Amino acid sequence: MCREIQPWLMTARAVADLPEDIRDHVDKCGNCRRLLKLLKHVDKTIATLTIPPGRSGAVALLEERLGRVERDRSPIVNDRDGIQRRQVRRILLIGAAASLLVGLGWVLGRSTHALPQNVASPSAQMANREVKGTASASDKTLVARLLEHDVRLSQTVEPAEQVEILVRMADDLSDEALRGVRHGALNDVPLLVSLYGEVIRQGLLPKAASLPVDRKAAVLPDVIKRLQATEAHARVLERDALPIVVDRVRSIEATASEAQHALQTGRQFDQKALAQLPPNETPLLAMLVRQGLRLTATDDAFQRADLCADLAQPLAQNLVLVSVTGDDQSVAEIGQGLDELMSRGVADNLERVEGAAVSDRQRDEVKQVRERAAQVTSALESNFSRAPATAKPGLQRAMEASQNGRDRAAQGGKGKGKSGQTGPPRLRKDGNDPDSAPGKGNGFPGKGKGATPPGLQKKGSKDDSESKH
Amino acid sequence: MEQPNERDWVRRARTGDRVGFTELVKCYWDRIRRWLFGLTHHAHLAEDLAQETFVKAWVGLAGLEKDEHFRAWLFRIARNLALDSEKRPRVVIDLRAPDEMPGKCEEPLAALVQDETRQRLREECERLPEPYRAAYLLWTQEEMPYAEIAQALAVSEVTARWRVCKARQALLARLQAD
Repeated sequence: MCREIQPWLMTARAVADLPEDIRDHVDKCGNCRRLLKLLKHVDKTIATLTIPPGRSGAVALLEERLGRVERDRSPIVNDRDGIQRRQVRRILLIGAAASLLVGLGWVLGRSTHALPQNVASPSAQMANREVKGTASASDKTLVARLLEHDVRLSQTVEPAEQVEILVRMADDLSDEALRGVRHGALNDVPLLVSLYGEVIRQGLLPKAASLPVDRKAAVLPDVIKRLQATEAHARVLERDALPIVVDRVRSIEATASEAQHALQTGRQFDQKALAQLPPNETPLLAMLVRQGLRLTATDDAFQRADLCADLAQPLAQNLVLVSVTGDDQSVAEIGQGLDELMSRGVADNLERVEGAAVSDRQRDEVKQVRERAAQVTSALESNFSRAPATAKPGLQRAMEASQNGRDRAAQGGKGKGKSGQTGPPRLRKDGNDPDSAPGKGNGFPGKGKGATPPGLQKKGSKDDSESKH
Repeated sequence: MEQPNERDWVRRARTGDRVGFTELVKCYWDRIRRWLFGLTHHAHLAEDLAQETFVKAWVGLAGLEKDEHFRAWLFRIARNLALDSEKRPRVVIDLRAPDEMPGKCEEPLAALVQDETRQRLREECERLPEPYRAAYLLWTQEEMPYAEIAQALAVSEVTARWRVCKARQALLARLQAD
């Protein structure tokens, strides 16, 4: 009997779960009672086994990832019809995009063949930009992401597209700030929060207000949704944030909330002058954001090229600094970003100016911008020659990656291209520049000594171009 | 005012409410991580898989048919990820729980026996075939009914019952072998 009922005992959590006849047997059978007791003991022991503590910040990291996912996807739809509709729409969109790309490729091929010296058409540039821009953008550093936004802003005068880019820029800044709050990396939080406010007030809201009514109806719901997500994210974080940064978190929350209200009611935000930056910040982030905002404020191709050229200098400086830290991924991203900035931000815009009828004065101005672009290259080469050996491989790759763009910006035309003999000139196989000598000018403000790139000594220096505006 | 329960959070999360989902994360984070640790025996891997589980859950919440199935659905995602992770090479780090686990017995000898039994059971549980272990841990640690275990593991209720039975039998047999 005991053997027959054992399977029952093995699957029961308690005596009460057993059928009545088996319960009767257990009441009378000492062996079965002991077996049940032993099983209960084993179960309890297994249920209370401890596990090693988790890594600190794991849940925070999860929250941050969820925030990113939330921003990168369309809203959740509950009903099945909605899901099906979205799937059908997605398939249609993919089909349309594929057709468009094929068409663009054909048009581009024809136009390039017919006009070898011409700049690619804006639509082709746009398509190319979109394709490049989608590659795992969320994994990039903030500098790389902001730079990507700036490059896109340098290429468009379409307000709806500018709004969309500004929202992404704002999202990136709030995400980074809130991630800093979660992980206790608070140094940049005040700056990031301040820049978030600037992007919303100085960029997004005025630009959204300038949209025609029909475009507002198409564009603003998504913008409001993103602002709601940011507000909710900040609200969740506010509960656990350190008291010293709670106000910053609330500031993000309030800005996002106010912006939603302004967009829903059509209220205008007062446009103030760009705020003074707090001390001890990372100037490059501010430069990237503010140049982006300035790019949205002008339709003039020359000014856009000029703004991008302003950005190239501190960016190249940052490239050298990062290369010394050995962060190869960031170096590669910045190198790629520099290439895009020089090629699309500077060269494309200058070629637009040159393509139109220009006066002698304008021609001189274009020449000056090209000279500034050339200075970036000479500065990079000079720094490369003195960079520590460990920094050289990454820096070299970044220089190669950005060479085409730098050449185009400095000289016009198509640039030297990325194949064949690229990389820093006069580079020996051991990675050292045979002509380098201590004390030579390096192209960047300030003079470096020995193996330390000059930017390191001048880390806190403020960029000249900031004071122009 | 009545506090929202788990089903309310699930309902809210399904409409895209992050606050609702955050509450669910709070509720299930340790439980999912613990179960995944039981399946993988690697603390960091379990944590990474827990992360993936919640990200996938957040993305796929629209696919959840009924709010009340959330727990089984979540554990199912975790299981699939754990199975997938076995297909990839991983760095093995032994991060078992420290030996000085607090015991409830006050008497040193009894505490020692309890600790030894606990350690022994942990090892024996780790040796169970994965399907048995997955079902048994849900049964003991989550106190899931068989129907829910079946949902989580994508098997029939009879199979879920059978796996728990086999796991308990195996553990008893190994303990009694000494």
